[in-house]
Amino acid sequence: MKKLILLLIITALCSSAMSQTEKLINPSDLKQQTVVTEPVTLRKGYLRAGTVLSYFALDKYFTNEARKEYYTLSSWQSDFSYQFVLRYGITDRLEVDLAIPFTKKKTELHYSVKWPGLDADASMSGNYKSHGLADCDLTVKYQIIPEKEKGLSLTFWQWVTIPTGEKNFTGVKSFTEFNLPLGNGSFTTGSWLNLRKIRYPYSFDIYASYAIKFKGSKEMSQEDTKETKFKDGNYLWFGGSFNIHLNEWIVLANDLSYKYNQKGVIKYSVEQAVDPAWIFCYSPGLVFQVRRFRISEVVQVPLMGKNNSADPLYIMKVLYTF
Amino acid sequence: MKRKVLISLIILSLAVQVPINGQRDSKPRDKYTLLTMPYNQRPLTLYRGHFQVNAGYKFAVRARTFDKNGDLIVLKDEGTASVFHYYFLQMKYGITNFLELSVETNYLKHGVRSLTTEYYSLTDNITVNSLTTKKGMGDLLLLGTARLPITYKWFDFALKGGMFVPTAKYEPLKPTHTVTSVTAVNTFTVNYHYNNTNGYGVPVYILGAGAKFSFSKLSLETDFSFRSPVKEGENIRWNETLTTAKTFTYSNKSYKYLLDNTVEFNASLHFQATGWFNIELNSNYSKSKGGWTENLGNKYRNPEEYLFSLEPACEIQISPALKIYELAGFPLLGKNRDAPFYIFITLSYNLFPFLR
Repeated sequence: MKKLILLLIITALCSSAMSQTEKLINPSDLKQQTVVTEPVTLRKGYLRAGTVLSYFALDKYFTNEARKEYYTLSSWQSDFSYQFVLRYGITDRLEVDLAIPFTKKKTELHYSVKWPGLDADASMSGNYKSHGLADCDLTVKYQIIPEKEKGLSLTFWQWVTIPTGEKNFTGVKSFTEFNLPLGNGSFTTGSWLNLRKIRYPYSFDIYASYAIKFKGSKEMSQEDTKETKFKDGNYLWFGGSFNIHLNEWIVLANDLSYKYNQKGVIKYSVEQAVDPAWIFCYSPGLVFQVRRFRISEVVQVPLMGKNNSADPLYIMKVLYTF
Repeated sequence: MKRKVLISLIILSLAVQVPINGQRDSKPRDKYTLLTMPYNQRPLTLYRGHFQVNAGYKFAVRARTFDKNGDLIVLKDEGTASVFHYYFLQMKYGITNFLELSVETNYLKHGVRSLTTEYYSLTDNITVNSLTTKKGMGDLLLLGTARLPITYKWFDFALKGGMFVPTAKYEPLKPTHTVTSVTAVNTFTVNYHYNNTNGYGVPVYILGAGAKFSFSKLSLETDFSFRSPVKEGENIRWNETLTTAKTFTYSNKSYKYLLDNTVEFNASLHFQATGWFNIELNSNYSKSKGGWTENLGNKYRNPEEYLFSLEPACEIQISPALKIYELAGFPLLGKNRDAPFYIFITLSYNLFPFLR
């Protein structure tokens, strides 16, 4: 009998010791989870900060007939943006994000004018630049259905774009010498629903979003002396993504998205409609999780569209979890 | 007798020694060891039975060019900067540990704008835009590489030879010029749009050599190649006429050409930071000359051109089967050549299909 009791005690001690080991979670390990394995929102008290660099050069566009065409004028336009990002987990299900973007815009337009009858010619050029704060984003994310192992999660996002960037042309000295606007000049708010499933080494997302653009006013061209009221079209955005672990710390990310902009309006003395636009994009990328650093390289490739830019957008993110 | 015994013993001891050493050298290496072999321990060709597929994308911003005097021209300042997209696919197979065969091709998309010109007279106001696009598949390159039949330790040497087979379309397509913004009979915009393709049009052979030295975590690799066309080629040149109905009619004329001979030299210094991460600094020099182009019955020599670039790069071993290469290119010197800044990303998939 004594022997049996002793055996039971030993067995009980062993089992408790094992369960203790399995439940041991190191908080620093959680901060090193990858884009596949971590929950949609940050855990309570976690802070993620970093920068997002993006670049695109204007080369092609989708016409009103949804054909891809090159710009034909001898001009060059590029946008380089560096955005400071802060994400903070208020609870395990509630997160708040702040994005502060700085943009460097550059447009150069050159052409030659000839008067064959007078045997005269001239070169004309415009070199328009601007550099500074663009429109900031504030986002709140809440996990309606929290992430559980092998389960689904449903997350709701609400964001506001605040028109902090300069909306008007500044430093206008002539029709070839001025600074470009950096902001849009109106508030935007949108809601986003994200359904996600993790099945290691994969994760799948489906999302849908609708954004409302508010009325605003700004100078529509550098020649304007007073602001004109406008309202950009609201937009619908939906898509899905598929991420796969290539090894324990590198993830191949894939995203397909469709965005539809409704008709907008510019309230000149006679109202002018802004045509609806849509775009269908594929965004492949690699996400490296090096301890608490997360480095992403993504190319957003427009596949089809209408009244939209057809140029790839190159994005690089460097984030650190504190 | 003693001497004979002694000699026999020496021979016998050597005979024992040789298989012992031989045994050590011919230790079987499993495919995972071979697939994850760091750069500083890899020979210049693939291992026997090793199959590799490389798929790459290059994005280049053609914002600068070197003129005939080697002076740098900033194309952004002329409104004629452009971007190009280059996709690359290569397959390699190791026939033996010393012989490798490869096949590769590419796809290119590139549009170059010329300076917009407005013509004014008392009666006319005509704006002229011009765009030349180059788009399409490139020729198929078949290449064989043979290296020294020794186990790679610190030195390797290889010879390569092959040919660009003219599989790609090389004749330019009919232009697609348009007339837009017609506000009066003599007030309109002409948009010239020339549609070029990506093929050489003739077979081009390639010969080259490469060498590699490794010292601990550092390696130095150099290679040299020479490309030359097998024969003269014939192509067409499109001419256009603007009709009174503001449409274009086209005709074409054939002309002969000879492609340039091109030499290319690469030298790269590599550092194997860890087993899965290798960083390198490559220098690339290429020079072309010797070709000509016929126009109106006369042959005009192609201008001699060269370009020297520095290319920092890295290689990351993601898994036994996958590697990624990332490279950025910075042209420093040149003559008669565009000097684009570029980023080249290549994913490499590796396997031994016939080895368990």
